Amino acid sequence: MKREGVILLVEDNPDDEALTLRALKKNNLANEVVVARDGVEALDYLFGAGAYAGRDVSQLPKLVLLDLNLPRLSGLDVLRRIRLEPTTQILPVVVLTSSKEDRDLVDSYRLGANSYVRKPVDFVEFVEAARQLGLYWLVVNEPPPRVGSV
Amino acid sequence: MSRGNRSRIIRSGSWPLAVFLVFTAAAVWAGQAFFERLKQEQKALAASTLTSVGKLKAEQIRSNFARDERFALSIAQLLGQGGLADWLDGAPSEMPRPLQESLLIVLRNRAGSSLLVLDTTANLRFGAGQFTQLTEEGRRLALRAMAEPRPVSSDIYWGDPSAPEQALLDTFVPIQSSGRDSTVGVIVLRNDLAYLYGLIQTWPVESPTAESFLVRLDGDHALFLNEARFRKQTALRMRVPLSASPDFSGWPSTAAARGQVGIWEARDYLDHAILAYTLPVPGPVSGWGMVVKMDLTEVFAPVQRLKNTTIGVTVSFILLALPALGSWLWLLRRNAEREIAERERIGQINDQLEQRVRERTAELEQANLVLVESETRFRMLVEGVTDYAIFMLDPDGRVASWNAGAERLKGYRADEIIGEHFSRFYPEEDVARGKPAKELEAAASEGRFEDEAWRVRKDGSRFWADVIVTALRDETGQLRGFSKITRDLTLRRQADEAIRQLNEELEQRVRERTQALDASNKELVAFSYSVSHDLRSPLRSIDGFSQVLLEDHGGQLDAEGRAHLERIRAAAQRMGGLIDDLLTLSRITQAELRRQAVDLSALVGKVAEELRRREQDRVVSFAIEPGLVARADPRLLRIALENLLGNAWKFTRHTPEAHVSFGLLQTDGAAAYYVRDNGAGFDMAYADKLFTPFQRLHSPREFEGTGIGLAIVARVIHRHGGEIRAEAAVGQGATMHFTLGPGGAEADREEAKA
Repeated sequence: MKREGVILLVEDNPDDEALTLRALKKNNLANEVVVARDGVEALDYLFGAGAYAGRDVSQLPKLVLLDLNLPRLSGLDVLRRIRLEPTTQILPVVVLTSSKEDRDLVDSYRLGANSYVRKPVDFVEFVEAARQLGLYWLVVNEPPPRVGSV
Repeated sequence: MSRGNRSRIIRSGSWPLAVFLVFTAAAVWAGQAFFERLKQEQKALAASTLTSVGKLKAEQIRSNFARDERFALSIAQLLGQGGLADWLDGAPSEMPRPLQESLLIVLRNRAGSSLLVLDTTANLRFGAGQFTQLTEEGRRLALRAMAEPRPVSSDIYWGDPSAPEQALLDTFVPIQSSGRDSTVGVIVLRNDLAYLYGLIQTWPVESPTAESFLVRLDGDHALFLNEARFRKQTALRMRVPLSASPDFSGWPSTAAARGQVGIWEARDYLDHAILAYTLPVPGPVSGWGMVVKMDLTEVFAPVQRLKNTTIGVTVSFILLALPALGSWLWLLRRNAEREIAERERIGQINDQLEQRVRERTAELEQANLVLVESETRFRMLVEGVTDYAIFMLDPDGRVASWNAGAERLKGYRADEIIGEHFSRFYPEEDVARGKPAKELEAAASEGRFEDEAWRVRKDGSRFWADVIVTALRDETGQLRGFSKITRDLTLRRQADEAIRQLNEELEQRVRERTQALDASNKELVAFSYSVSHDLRSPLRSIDGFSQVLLEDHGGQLDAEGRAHLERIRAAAQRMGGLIDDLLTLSRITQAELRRQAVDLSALVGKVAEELRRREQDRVVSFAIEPGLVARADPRLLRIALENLLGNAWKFTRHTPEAHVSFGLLQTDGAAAYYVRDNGAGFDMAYADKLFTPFQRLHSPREFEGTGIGLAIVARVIHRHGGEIRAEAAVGQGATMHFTLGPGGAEADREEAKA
């Protein structure tokens, strides 16, 4: 069952990438997942630059899962850009990270993160977290209307 | 001075007393005689007054009755001329109207009088006025008047005997008819005696005791005819027997009744001693007498007053004179004694004076010697001082003395500087500003001046000096000069400078160290961050892919292989817990303590609820003392309570009826919170290891754990300035006691809610 809408996973660690994809899959979240391996790549995808030049940027992902500790451009910088650009201003962004530093939490929410989830060590717990995330953001939550149509 | 002389001088003081006593006795005797004579004169004066008054009153009474009689006669004459005779002759009938009217006119002019007309047989034919009755005695007197014929008077009697108030007296006058030349009747003029009594009782001058009254013979008694002044109801009632002796009360009335004329000293009806004058009164009937009297006390009153005054004045004078006399005597005596003492003393003083002159001379010689010695010593001392420049200035500022210290300090020898002005010790710029003169002025006005400044030596080099200038004044306050003490502080100033530099260096080093610390702190924070983030990632991979292995390839492994994979996962998770706890520990150390009111009871309740939710199959009863509010950092305290309650929860796992309680306990005068469980407990021998990181008292097989929990709790408590201790026994549960430091005093519950 192919769901409508793309999930943009911004994650540099391939292990984490694999585990996250598995967790999503285990929960039958069949949306297409686009993986960006650093901050720059994530922005390229969102704004149709670099490797993604010419992409129809009006097709926004349904959800962005954003790691904070990224090479080149950090997760917080990515979030800042997303919130600065009118087209992505209201895009749902869930921070998915190992850190539970207060500073990261506060900065993320201050920059407009919609949610903050700490990746647990226990994979069973992580699967449960992914289930709840997917259920909420992809099924329960009503996404914002497309910016272009407003 | 002989003893005889001495007593003679003292005795000579007593003669004035004798003179005083003799004069006093003479004065008393003369005074007594004088007052006796005055009394006799006063009595004679009173007697003459009484006599005059008595005679005057007797004459007034007489003329009064004579006037009444004349009046009656004139009425009778008037009636004799009219038609009265015919009316009286005729059968009894009403008096003709004209006659009646003329009689009434006559009566109208005599208030209180009554008028009766009787016929020749003394029958009453007409009556006008208040009293118109006729007694038998009245008829007898009327007949007598007609028979003689001449006016006849009755004696005094009561107008109404049943109410003896109004005394009356009748005058009977025969009426001669002018036509017939015979007596045709009697007219009775009946007079009220109130007027007469008034006449008797009035006294010409004001007198407290004087009175006069009428008496007459009444058998062998004297009868009072009118009311006495000092006793009522005496008129026609009070009697005194004629046989009474002259000292009997009221005796003068008997003398008066007997018609005796004279002055008497006797006793009156009040038994007062009186002076009385008696005389017969020529009244309408014979036998009337009058007593005119006055109390002797009144007679002698002026004399008595004079006597009292005199005695008073005299006694006062004597009383006043006695102390004066005494003082005078005492003075005489004292002067005499002083004279003696003085003569004796002068001799002694002379001796003493000579002795003291000798002693004083010796003392002065001695003091002079000491002074010379001390001055020498002092001068040598000052001259010998080499560390201080000590020298004197005259009032103008020229050097007057110089010591070795001054020579050493300033470089001048005494012979080349004495007489020179002291401003040469100052740097040029100070001299230009007039500083030397100002310092002397300040010392002169304040008494003392202190300064720290540069001074100049003879060779022109400068030194940092501590200077004290003191003004010197003589006993009269005249400025005699200044003393100046100068000390070279150059070395000290250099030392101060060195210290200042050291301090600066020290501060610089502190700044550098602080910066270094700040930097290392930042590194530490960065390290923590990377621990939190980077160390956990591999663990997640280990755990995650172990799980993947189990899920995807579990079938290719036997049970033992799967168990190994589970162990790998458990280890990875335990390490994740360790990292988390270590991070917490480091965060607690760094975090700023923010105290606010915390409802501990509510917080414990929440944590307990969390534990129950996490392991719903366990049954643990919680007893939480309500309403415990403290001032603490709520975040840190929550971490501490989570650990404490988590331990209690954990270590009661094998206890059948698990029970955890929280509350506040007063022990040894201090209040401490406690978390108690009835779980596994521990051996108190290892209690000191309890709060050290990674120290565990149970094997992981028994109870899982990182060994950091209580270290975290202890750090939270210590951050609050509080203390924590454990109390336990193996198999009997454990109690953790903790306090929250001086700032943790119980707070308001409402505040905590707010």
